[in-house]
Amino acid sequence: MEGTWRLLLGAAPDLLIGIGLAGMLQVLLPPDMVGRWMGDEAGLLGLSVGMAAGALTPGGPYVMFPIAAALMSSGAGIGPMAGFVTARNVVTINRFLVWEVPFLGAPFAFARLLACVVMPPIAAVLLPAVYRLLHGKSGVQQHPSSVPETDAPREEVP
Amino acid sequence: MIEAVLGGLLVTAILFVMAKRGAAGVQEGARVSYGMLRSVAAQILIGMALAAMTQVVLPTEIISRWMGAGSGILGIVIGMAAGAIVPGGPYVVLPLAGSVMASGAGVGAMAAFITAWSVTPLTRTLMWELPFLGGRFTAARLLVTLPFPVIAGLLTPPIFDLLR
Repeated sequence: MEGTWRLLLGAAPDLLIGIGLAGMLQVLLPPDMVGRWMGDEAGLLGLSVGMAAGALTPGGPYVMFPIAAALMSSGAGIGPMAGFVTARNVVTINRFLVWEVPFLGAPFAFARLLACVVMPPIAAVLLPAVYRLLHGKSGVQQHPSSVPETDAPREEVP
Repeated sequence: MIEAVLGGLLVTAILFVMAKRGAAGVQEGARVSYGMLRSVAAQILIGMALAAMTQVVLPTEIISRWMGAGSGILGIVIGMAAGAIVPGGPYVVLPLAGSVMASGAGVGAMAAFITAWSVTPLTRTLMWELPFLGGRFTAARLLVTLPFPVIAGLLTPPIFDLLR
C-alpha cells in the first residue's frame, strides 16, 4: 500500500503533464492532418513519421502513452502507432546516452542498439497484419472521436 | 529536470493552442485531457498497486541472482524472463544490469534482459499501454514484439565482439 502511494506520488506530476500535453496536441493536430501523415493509408511515410516521433518523444511512459492515445484517436493508423511505440521502447536516444552507455559501457550499448535498430520497422510492418488476424478487418478502429469533429469546421476561415 | 522540460513543452503547447484556436481551444484540450484521465485513472491505480507488489515480492537481488545462473540460450531465456518482470525505471534497471554484467553475466543474456525490459515489460504494459491504447492494439503489439529479446540476445554478442 505504501509502495503504491510512493509510485503514485512519483508519477502523478509527469502523468498530469503528459495528459495535459496529449489534450492540447489533439486540439492542435487536426484529424485530417494526422490521417495524412500517420494514417493507415500514409504507407511508408506514415511508418517513418511514427518511428521518428517515437524516438524523439521525451519523458517516461506517463508522457508517451497519453500522446500515443491522442494520436490514435486523431486517426493515426496501427502500423505507424506500432512504429511509434516500438521506437520509443527500443531506440530511446535519451535513455541510451544517459543510462546505457555509462552503466554498460559503449561497446555493449552500441552493439545492443545496432541489434535492435531493425525492430521498429519490423513491428510497424507486421503489426497491422497481426492486428487484422487477431481482431478481423472490422476490428480496425474507426476512431470514433474523430468522426463528430470532422462534421464541424475545425478552423474558422478568416 | 525532466519535469521542467515537459512543463515547458506543455506551456508551449498551450500557447500554440491559444494562438491558433483561442481560449475555446484550450478549454477543448483540457476537456480531452480530463476525459482521458477519467478513462484511465482506475486502471492506472490497479497497475500501480501491482507494480508496488512486484517490487516487494521481487527485490532486485533475486533478479541479479537469476541472471548469474545461465549462459548461452538458457541465459537468453532467463534474461528475457527477468527483464519482463523486473520492476522499475532506467535509474533502477540499468545500474542493476551494469552490476550483474560486471559480475560475469553473458552479453547475450544482458541484451535479452534489457530488450525484454524495454519491449515486453509486464507492469508497464498493464499499467500504461493497456489503459491508453486498448486491449486490441496491446495484444497485437505484444505478440509481434515477443521474439525481440531473443533476437537481441542472439545478435548482440557477435556485434559486441566486432566493436570491442
